[in-house]
Amino acid sequence: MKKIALALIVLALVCTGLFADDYTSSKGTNDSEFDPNKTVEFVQETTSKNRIVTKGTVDKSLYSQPIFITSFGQSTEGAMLETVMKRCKLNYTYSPTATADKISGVKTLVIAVGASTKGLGAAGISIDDELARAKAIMDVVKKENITVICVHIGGSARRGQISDVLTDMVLEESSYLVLKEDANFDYKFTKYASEHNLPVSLIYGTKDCIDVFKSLYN
Amino acid sequence: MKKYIWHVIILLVAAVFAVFASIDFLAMHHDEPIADNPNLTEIRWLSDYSEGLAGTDLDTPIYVFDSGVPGGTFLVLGGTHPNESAGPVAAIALIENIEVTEGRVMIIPWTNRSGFSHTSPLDGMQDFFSIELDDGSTRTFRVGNRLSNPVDQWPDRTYYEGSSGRKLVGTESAEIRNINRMYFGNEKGVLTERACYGIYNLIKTENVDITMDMHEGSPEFLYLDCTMVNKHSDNSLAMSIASYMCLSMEFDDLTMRAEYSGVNSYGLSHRSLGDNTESMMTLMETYNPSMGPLHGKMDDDLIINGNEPNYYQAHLDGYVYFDVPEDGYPLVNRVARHILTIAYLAEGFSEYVPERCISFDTNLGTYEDMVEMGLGGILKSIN
Repeated sequence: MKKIALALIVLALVCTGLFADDYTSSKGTNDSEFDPNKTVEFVQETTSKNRIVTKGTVDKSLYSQPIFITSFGQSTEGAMLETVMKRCKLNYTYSPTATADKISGVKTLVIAVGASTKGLGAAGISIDDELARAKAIMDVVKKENITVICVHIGGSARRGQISDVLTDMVLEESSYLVLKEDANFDYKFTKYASEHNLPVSLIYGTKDCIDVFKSLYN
Repeated sequence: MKKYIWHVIILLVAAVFAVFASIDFLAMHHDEPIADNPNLTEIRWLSDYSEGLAGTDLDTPIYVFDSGVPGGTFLVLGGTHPNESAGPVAAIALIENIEVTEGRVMIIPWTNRSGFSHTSPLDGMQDFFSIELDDGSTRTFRVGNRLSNPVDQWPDRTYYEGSSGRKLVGTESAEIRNINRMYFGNEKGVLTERACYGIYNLIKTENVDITMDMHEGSPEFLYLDCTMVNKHSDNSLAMSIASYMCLSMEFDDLTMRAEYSGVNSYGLSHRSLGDNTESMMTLMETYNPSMGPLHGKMDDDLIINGNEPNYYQAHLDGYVYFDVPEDGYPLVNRVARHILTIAYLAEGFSEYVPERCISFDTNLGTYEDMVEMGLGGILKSIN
């Protein structure tokens, strides 16, 4: 009897080990080719001395004022971007929770992407509502062919699942991409820009946005 | 008589111990002297805004610097948690040096004045630390405790619901003596709550436009070198002003984040005062290694030079969020960061709300200037 009990315990432990293995792998990715030991080596191009690296050619004639700034994800980067515009002395309107009807007629739309649960909570918006608002805005963008600049200045901290969904929505319609380079740790942005012939400015810090937009609007 | 001699000797020895203990206990009831600043307009008391505080250890002075030029009002809170030393020292440094040219600045150096009168001996905390000034004199500061002294408010109730709706129960029941859990206060509540009400009523009565509550945290904390900002539901102005500050800090090669108040941070200044007054509420935290459980020997060196190898190792091992500097994070850097944050918030506020401009000169220069001067140069000699 004791031997049977011991065998059952050993069997239970083995099963636990097997299930634990399954659980670990299912947490990672559904991709059957996923290799946890294979990491993409990230080489940062911007430095404290060489703060802005632009790839591709930016067609400045596409961008006019007034600029409309909104946030996708309600992170603090929207407000940061507004401050950048203020320092650049550009003519802008900032509305982090703007609805699609406010976008209609806009010439240049700058979208600060990056989801923040604190920001969504402060704005009293659910994730689903924010995704729906973003989709409605992008529908207007497509319909009216509005020029979009995608700005991602939250760094790697704004690379969660929701942030990436929102980013993908914006990238599809963007004509120019500005991002703090540490967000590009998996080359998501530069790979997309390269595949879609999209100009991209990698910046070292948020303050470098000022030089990017000053240059864009001369 | 002979048979009582030992009783008398024991009583006398006990009395000697009691005298020394009393001197030690009472020493922490003396506020640090603050050097004169000719720009000071007046000193008010928190009991002017919450009558129930009069004559208690939680009544505290409010240093008012009024330019006489119309503008807005900035309220600076130091010492909400007395053991977070950068806050009260930064407040005192501002009081001794500031010159306001537009609007008003009101500074409270010991927001929880009762908390300065005791310490946490079982946490290895010490009572005082001293800073040598450039002229050779010494300034001594209390370390204090984050909670009001139980001598002033006791016992802690097993269940208490503050005005914000925060329920203090179980392990949090001692927080009934924590000013930063009891906002927006209650005029007739427990003593700590009456102090909170004083701040709340001060903000309302004096039309305070913007408030900074200075804090520090141990490296395990998520929000270090970070400013919490309350967002009123109908506008995003506060975050724009905070972003202005963050960007200005970045131009000085200092990292600073701004985050919205947590929706459930009831009772905290940035949440509950922000929700219940018109003031833009901000709270900033710097890294203080003496506050965390991994700190080594507690002494002046740890508090002033902020160098704790245990935390640097924990950072290397990936156990703490904060990017702990190998050479420490000295008190002067933390004080400078607080002062600069306040200066840039005022600048940002005036940029966005020019009709309520608040303008002042700290007379302490840039961050680099302050670090170079050291606390021995920033603080004035009492003599």
